[in-house]
Amino acid sequence: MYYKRFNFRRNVRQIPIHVILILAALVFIYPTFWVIMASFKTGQELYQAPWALPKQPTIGNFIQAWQMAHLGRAFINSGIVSLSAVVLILLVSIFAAYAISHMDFRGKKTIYFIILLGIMAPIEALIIPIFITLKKFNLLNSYLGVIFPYATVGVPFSLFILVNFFKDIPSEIKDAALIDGTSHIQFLWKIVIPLSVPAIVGVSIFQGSLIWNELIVSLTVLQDENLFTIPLTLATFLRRFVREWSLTFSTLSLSMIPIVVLYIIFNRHFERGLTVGAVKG
Amino acid sequence: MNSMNNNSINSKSFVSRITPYLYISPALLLLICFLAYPVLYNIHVSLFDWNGVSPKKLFVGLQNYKNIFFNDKPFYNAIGNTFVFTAGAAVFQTAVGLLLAVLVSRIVLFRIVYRTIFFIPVVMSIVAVSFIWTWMYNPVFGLINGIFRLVGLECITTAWLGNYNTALGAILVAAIWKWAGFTMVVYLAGIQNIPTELYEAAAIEGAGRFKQFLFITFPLLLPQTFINVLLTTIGSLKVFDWVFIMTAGGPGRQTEVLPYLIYYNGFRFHRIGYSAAQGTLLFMVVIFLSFIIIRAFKGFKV
Repeated sequence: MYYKRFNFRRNVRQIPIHVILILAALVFIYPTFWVIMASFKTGQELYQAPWALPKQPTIGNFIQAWQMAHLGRAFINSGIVSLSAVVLILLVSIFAAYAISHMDFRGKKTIYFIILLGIMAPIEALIIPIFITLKKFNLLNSYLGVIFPYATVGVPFSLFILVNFFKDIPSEIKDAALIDGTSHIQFLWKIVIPLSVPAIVGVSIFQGSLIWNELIVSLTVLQDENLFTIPLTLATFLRRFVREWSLTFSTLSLSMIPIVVLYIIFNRHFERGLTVGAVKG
Repeated sequence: MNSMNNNSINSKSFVSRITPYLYISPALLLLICFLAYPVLYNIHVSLFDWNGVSPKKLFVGLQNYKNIFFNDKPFYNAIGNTFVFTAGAAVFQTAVGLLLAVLVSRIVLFRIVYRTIFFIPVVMSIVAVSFIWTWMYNPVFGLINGIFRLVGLECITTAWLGNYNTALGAILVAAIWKWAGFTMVVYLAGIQNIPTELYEAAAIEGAGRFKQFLFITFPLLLPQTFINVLLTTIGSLKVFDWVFIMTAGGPGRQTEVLPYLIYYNGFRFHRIGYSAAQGTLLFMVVIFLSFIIIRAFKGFKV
């Protein structure tokens, strides 16, 4: 489908499609772009010329936003929580996926089915019991208090993706390992995992970005401002200062830019995390 | 096979028989503690009248549910809003994604650029997108009204989030903006698997572009449509962040959705039992609708 040479005739024929796509692309990128541009403007310039590009770009807003909203702390918190939750998801899912795809045991199909039901479970409906449960275990207002629920929500879907991927490992390899008397652990560690790196990376990025952007669980569990994740910081801080547009925009921009830049650089991996499951499913 | 190693893939010893259960137990443990148990505990709590802190819990049986079904107008309002929103999202989010996917799949130049741009809102947090669109809908300074004024349509301008008629739709538009790239990517993956010979054969038979879409592309994309509709529905039923940031349920109760109601009843009004009952109902609605969708699409897949 990809032609190496720039085919002028074909591209000219497709100009109408490009026109539509350019318009759509403007719709999808301009709001974000505007907010980022606006944060380079001073408050005055914002009111006087909201649409023009900033004449004298200033980073004062960013510095103010960073300090007032404690964004450094928020980034660290989000980082700790997301990373730990993804690691936990991977640990738990890889072993379980291996068991389901390469081992035989009673109740395998039933257990797999029940876990997959978890994909549909809405955690928004369960915040009350989760809150009470965490309170009982003294995990409220702590990193673990959010890491465990996040990991729990992410396991069923990750398991699904990994099981499909693991199953695709050719059986000749397993037969060869059998002849060698390989143990399960060795097989998993030396063969299955290296062959499944694309799926593992895709799952990590996909779950990681969902967890990074999550709000309701962290809203419920985290009370101490020192522990607030980025979405929670945005929600509480910006609601207080919603009239101060410069501050609002710069805070928003600072919180958005990292993940948008990460995505632009790694975009193949992001999308692969989705389609690895979607195409097979 | 000389499998003397107790742990090797082929041995039948006790260790090898319990190994699978060992491998799967962390997953099961996590899910039981933080998913299964909360679901059951939710049902348990919903049978009580409780404010969450005091040791005084009054067993009221199904009273909470009775109150919900007979005394609670906001609940029906919230369900209505949730359903309207979900239906709108299921239809338009997938439609826009499909349209974008079809267009992007036809061109070669800049394809990655377009795909990336459409997907950027997907990776942003709902909180950030909510704030961006709150500003966009600002009646005085916002981009939406700005554009209308620019083309001379001052009459259409309104406070999109404050207007009873437009608030829910406004949030829906923002949600579609965020997620259309996702449905697009799923569809794109499916489109790439359609063999081009089909289109060539159809072209020879004299079928135009639109007919080709209707009779080749769309039917062959049924698995992707199924996934998109299912995920969009499940996701839309759970909508909380948008409402929390953009409208706080207002104006009036026009944008109050069920998850928002659950949160409010539980953590602001401290009616824990009541909130748990609503949570249980939401849970059942999601499971029920999911099964309906799965059933419906299994019927198409022959």
